[in-house]
Amino acid sequence: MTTITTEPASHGDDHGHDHPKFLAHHFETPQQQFDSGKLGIWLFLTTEILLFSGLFCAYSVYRANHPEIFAYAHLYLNKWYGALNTIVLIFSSFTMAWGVRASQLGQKKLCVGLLGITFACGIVFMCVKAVEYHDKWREQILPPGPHSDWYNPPKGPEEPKENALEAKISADETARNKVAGEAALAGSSTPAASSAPAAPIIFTGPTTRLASDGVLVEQSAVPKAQIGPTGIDSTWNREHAPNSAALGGSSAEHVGPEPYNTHIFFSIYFLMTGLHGLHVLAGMSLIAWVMYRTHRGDFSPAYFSPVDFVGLYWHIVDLIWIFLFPLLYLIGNSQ
Amino acid sequence: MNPYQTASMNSPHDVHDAPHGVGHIVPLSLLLKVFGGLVFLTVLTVAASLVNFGEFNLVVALAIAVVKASLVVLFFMHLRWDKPFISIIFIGCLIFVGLFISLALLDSGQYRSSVIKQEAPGIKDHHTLLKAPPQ
Amino acid sequence: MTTITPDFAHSPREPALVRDNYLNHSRGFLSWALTLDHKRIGIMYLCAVLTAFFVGGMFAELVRTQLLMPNGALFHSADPNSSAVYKTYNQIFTLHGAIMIFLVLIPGIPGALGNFVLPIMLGAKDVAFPRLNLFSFYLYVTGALFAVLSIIFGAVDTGWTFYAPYSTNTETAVSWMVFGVFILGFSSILTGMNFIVTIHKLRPPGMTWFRMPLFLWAVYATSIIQVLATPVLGITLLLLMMERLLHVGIFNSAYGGDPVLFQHFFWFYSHPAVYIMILPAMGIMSEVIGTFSRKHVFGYRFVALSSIAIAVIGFLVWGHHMFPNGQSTMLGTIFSFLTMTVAIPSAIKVWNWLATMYRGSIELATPMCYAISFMFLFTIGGLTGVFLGTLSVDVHLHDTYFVVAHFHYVMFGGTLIGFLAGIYYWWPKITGKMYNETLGKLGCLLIFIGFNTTFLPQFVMGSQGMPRRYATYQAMYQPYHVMSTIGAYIQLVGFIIAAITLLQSLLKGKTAPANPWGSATLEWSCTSPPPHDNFKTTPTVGDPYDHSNLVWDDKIEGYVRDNTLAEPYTTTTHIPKQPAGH
Repeated sequence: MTTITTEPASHGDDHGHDHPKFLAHHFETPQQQFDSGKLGIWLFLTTEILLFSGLFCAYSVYRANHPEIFAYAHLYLNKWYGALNTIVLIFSSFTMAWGVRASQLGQKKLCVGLLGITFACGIVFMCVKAVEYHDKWREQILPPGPHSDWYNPPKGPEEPKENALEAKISADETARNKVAGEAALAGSSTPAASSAPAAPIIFTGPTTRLASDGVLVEQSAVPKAQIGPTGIDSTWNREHAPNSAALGGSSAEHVGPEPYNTHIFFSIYFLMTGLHGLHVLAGMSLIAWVMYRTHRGDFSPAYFSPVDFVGLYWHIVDLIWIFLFPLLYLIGNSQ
Repeated sequence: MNPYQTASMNSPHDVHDAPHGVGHIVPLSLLLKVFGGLVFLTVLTVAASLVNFGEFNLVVALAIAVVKASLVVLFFMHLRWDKPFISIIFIGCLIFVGLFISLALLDSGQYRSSVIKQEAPGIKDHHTLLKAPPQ
Repeated sequence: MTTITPDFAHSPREPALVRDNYLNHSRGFLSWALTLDHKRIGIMYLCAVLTAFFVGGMFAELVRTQLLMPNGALFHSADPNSSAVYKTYNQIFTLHGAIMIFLVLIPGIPGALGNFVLPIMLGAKDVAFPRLNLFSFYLYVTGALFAVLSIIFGAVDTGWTFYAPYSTNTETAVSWMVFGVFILGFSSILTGMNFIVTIHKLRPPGMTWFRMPLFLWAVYATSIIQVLATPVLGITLLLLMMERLLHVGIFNSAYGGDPVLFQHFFWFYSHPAVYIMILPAMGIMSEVIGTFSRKHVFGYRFVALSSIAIAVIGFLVWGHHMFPNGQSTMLGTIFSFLTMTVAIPSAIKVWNWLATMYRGSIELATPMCYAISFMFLFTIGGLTGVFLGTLSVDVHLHDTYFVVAHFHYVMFGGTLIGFLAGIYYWWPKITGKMYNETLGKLGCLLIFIGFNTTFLPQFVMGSQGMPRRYATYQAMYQPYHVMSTIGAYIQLVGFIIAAITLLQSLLKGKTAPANPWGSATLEWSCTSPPPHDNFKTTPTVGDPYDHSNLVWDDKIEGYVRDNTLAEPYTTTTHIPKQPAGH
């Protein structure tokens, strides 16, 4: 007698009435399918949390190193829009959770209605976001973009060289630095770079140059950091200084002088809210799909897991915004 | 022991019992209460931002956010009634996020004393590259 | 009929293809392209991974050929100060690394062997989410496509680590490659999710956690890492693309960013990634060594829990890739200390495998040859890792050929040899054919000899200062490089023979019985190749390493279960009759 003998009368097709249509062939019971799905979606949600964790890490590091940038630049964000978005998302989470409950109870029309409201809340959220981004565009506070002249400054007029040796050495240095991949350093490339050297080569690094008396001089070849794409220069600052009272804050907030590199804050702001916005859009499409399936009658009290799992995804989107709101909009004035 | 094996063998009619389906159902009143709590906490967090707690601004804001998040996770996301293993996964994920952020902060913290803030000369450059502010 | 009957009703010597199995269950291109059968998905992964391995290997041969001469045998320039011509070399080693890591090692064993074997070993009909499984495969293909496109649009020259700020400034096609890797990351995540849920929810009655085969423990630990670590790679690559496309200035210090932050982000994934690569290979080792020593795996619980320990501790050590790179001394010290601890679970495994072999009845079939190679090569790799984990020594050895040799010993000598062992072990189950043992063992021998010839000298020259990723070098290193290149060519011959062995088996191999090796895990109790549904009835489970009632049956040239043998036999008292030769 072997352990596994010839197969008994086909068990696979016997499941007629206790293997309902929605039950996949490799699961024994609906409970097993539901539990597996729940475990699966929670694992996926942990990956979403870890995806955003990188951005939270960047936020933490830059805020810890440059609290003045965050304290200043966040005033350009409108915290009332942020608060409105928070309330909208919380409300949508509530309607979503209620929608899952309705699906579990077989209340089809109510479920479709609630999912519709959730979807509408998503639209409201994206509209408010669009208004905020439009404000930034109006104020020219945007990421530099691929053709910005901020990241790749245009070549200025060549500074006159003191003597031929220095001109030759700086040309060599330029050629070497170009090869090293520092595209921003590509100044004028003279043909002298490829000719055989008449004088012995003195190796200078990217941060040194040879002065006329043969002494190596330390000089940073790293391009100077600009103010950034915010369009904020000190003259404009005086006219358009973020007045916390005008934005609804208390007059107790002291707005100091504009710090350098405010674009760091806005880069992080756009990355975090942009990625979050993409997830809101993805969540909205999932909700629309599940709405359609509910309307079509795919779900019942015995099988509602797609609604449940899409709901979980939507709640994670809300969860991330719950943290984004205070971190980006409500920094306060702790220096 | 596979808990799933016996169910279908013994009671093939399980799946037809409405509302004793496969999951726990949250009472509507509880959902409303949680929603109310979340709105209240949002108002609180905005109000707290108007008060200057000094160094504790961040702590207060994050604490309120954590409470809100817990409400969402426990009640809206059903974790209160789910199998404990799911909670283990979620907490584990948060531990790894904490590990990542705290070690990165620890590293950059070692150099914080040498970070140049707004007093740095020479970093600020001319403004010819910047667009004029719109009117 | 006597008490011993074969495990299937048909004649045992019947050609495999006549019986209904997963290969002939349905025909046509679409039945493969849209399949939900984990076995077919596993085959597709295997073909894709082996193709990628071939491409990556060809790049490696180019690298080694270049390094035959101090001034470069393939790419060189008359002007010693001009380095533009070496950009091609940079592109070649970058592609070698990226293809091997992201297209071969990370998806290889979980995708190809895990997909095929895991459900059958578990006694299940399929993985938990078959459609997600197919989606994972197509994500893999899409990611591979973007990687190929990146070659066409100006291949990447940053090294597989994409360090900023070079990667944000260079004009090569970084964004294409990075986007491809981003997609591959999601393939990895979804596979991990699938396996975790399958192992948790689809186990048969009687298979408690500690009655699971060790390969499943290993795959489970791998899946945990895949789920937790890969998203961080995703965000890192996303930020890199945003910096290249939108110039957000997050990793470039000229714009207020921090390059060391990029490295923290990158290595938070990439260190656990190496454990994604090695853990499944270690799982295969447990299976192969247990079967071919005809003994219960020694210290089962230790081996099982050490997989989990490696997964967890592996997240705590990423900074050891960054010791001299601008990381603070305090963090360097912390990571150096933690790196010492991660060696312990690996050592526990090696010790237990040796103890399994001790006083076992060892059969040197081809998979066992690969397994013994693994133990030798992985031990060397692991020990040299301890050198590199020591903070002060690493200052000398960082970015030298010592590192290159170390990671090739663990990734190639570890993961790839383990992968080959698994392919040769499960080949009869997958294809229903046996292969020529002599040829198989010859391939293993040549690969082993070639591998050591290639990489042992690299330890020496690395410690003498030969830097990595250099297209040219000083003349004093030439003897080592020449030896290394000769080894690479020997390996090439070895791999060709290994491939011929398998191809010959497909064309002319003998029909395989259900259980040619005498293993007690569940996948050997169904036919070779398995039927479409794996099992018609859910099997009952015993000890996966109890070989005592498996006896050799000459008629089918395989092992069958004899349940009349009530008492367990130890191999020292009763050695089942071995065939004269396969």
